[in-house]
Amino acid sequence: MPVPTPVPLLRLNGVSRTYGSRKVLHPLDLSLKAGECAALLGHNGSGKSTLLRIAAGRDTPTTGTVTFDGLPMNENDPRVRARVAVVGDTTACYPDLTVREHLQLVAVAHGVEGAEEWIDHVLAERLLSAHSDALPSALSSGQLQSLLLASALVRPRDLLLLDEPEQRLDPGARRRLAEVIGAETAEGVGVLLVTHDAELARAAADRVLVLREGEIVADGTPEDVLADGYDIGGEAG
Amino acid sequence: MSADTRLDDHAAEERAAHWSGEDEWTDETLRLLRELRAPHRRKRAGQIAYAVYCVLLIAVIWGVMPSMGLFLEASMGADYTGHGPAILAAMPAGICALAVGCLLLGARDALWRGPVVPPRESVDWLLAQPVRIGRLLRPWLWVSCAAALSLGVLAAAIGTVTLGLTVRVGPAAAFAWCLVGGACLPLLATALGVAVETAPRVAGWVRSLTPYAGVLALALAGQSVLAADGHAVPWLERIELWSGPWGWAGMAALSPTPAAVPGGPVAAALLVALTGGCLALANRAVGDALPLAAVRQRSRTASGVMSALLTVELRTARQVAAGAAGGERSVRFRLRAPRRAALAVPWRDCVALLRAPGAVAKSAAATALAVPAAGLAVNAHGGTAVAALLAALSLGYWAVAQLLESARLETDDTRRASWAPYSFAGLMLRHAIVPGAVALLISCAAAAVILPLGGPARAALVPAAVPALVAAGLVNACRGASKLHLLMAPSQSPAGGTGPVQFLIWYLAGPLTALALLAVPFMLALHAGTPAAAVAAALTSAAVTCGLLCWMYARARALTR
Repeated sequence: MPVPTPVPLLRLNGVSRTYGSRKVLHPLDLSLKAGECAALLGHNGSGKSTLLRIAAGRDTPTTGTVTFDGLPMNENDPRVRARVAVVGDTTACYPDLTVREHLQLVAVAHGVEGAEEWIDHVLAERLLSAHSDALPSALSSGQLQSLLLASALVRPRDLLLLDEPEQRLDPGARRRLAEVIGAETAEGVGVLLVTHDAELARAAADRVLVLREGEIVADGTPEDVLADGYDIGGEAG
Repeated sequence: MSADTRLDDHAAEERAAHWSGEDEWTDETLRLLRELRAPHRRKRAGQIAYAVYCVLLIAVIWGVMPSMGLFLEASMGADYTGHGPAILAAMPAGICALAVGCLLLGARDALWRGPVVPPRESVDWLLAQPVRIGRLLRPWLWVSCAAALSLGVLAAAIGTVTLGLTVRVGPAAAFAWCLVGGACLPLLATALGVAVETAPRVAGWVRSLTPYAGVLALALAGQSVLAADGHAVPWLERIELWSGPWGWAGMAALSPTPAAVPGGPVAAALLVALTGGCLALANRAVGDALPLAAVRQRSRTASGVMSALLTVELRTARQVAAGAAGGERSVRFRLRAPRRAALAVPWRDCVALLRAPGAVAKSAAATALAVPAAGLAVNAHGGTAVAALLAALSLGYWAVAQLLESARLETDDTRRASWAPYSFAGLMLRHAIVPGAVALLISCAAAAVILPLGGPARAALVPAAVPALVAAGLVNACRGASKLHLLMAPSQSPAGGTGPVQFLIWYLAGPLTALALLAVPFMLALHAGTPAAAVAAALTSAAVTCGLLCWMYARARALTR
């Protein structure tokens, strides 16, 4: 089980991002503690996914710094990669590996003890047991999304970054997703969740941040922020 | 449910949903479409006319004028008949090989594209209207037939020139007899394509039989080369010539020559009759039996491939076509997952190769071709030796590249690798292990075969080249998106713009570098045949490997930056 750290697990300090002359993110600060889930809500184009990519070290901020547990966030740093799991905005899988082999690859590479039992557990939890020997081409988009989430859950992690994980999931799977996030934070994993689903944010997050045109315009508990009626451009629940 | 079954179901549904006579609006729809698209059609006709003009210009400059020059020289006393006997000996098996290749090409093409491919816009909305499908689709069948026929005429023209110069056959007779096979075989391939497009079961047969047909074509080509070298097997050739349309074309082409086989006109008549019958069946199938789901799917694929080709994303184009032609993937082989973290990526690569045994077979075949090419370099001198060595190294690179598919999958979308506990560049480095080991095994087997012929020093050169070629393949895998701006590079040479050459150099940077650096030491080692020269070549290969891996590492880092 990850040990809670005294310093913020993830810290964004004065981070901004500009593409050409277009300012996508204005300088902002954000910190996330171990065992905390922060949900980022906002319209399409408000800068949520850019912020998540920067937080994951996949994009370099124009100004500011990003640190993970005191380390500079760099996607190519094995110390970061070993502890940060990302479920991105793609369903790209290996076309020649079955569902179980995807999870075996991740578990073996991360040196997970008792990988097979753990994989069986994750497959059952994500309702993928019946498809464990299927190739990605035989899965629906919702099942592919579940596979990506399972790949993140089968490995050790201190920080989980989720980019609209509710996409392509049915209502039942969305409810289970909130439970998964709850279980993660209970184990001390920090979760940064980008979503359009206010109901998911209400159910899973400790904090909700609303982004509008690259600026954080609200930061508080889900009850406070969502009750204030911010326009988040998604399903207000 | 398999894709073929789904297509069957779609076809059944579509056949069940017939329009009644009252609903039918074919003439009105087509008339309206003609009116609406008149400006576009004029523009398109202009583009096609320009393309035809360019093709004709190239054909005249590179084909007609040199051929006329040769005939002129022949009329002034130049003698090319020395090659006649070899060409006549090579023709029976050679034409069979070409014919099998042509039919295979037509059938494989129909797995993803097919002879009946209307444009995407027609497919997207016109097929859903109350119109007679046959009237919409048949023109596209005839367009494909015309394209196939033009290639056949070109082949017949080449045959005419060859027979005219080397066997002194009159141009009219040579062209007429060559045209029988030249016209019929491509048309037969087109009709076969319609059968593949129409019946998913036939498509399944084509997928299963492709490797055997490929091997048959190669074997026939080999037989042809041996026959040209004086090792013909007349009874086998006779069986091949009478065995089907592939042989009938050869019999027709041989008819006006001194090597004519009895029954040539009969074979020609059989071929023409078979082609006519098959085209009639294809014409009927396009109206009655062609599943619209297959037409839609193929039109989408063709449009995807064309988009990828226009942006010079050749791998994407190949993937789209292969994805559509390959049928359903299956999980036939499994491999127990290892426990040690260090073995994760090698295990993943082993699974990939187990799932694609064809890649290993292709790699072995290319290595088998590379070895005689290297042998030719030993015995030849000057330009021939250099060309043979470069061919051997290129074949070696191609052999290794077959094994690197899982590395290329990583660079297709770097986000796939977000699971890995190591950097992307480190992951790519790990993808060298299994392909390198498999390539070394194959090359050692090839080296063992040539050991008695070339000696240990020369045999050792085969595995010695492998690490550098694997590293070159990884450099190429980390190429990234196409640098289209290179194609438009402003610099000029006496032969025209240098853009395409610059693009090609960038596209093939890895193998070109490896070939350039390995050519000299390997040539010296091949000619010397001494252990010292072989060690020097192996050390050079090791140094090139290190350099290329560093380059690959930098490229991989740049991909995730």
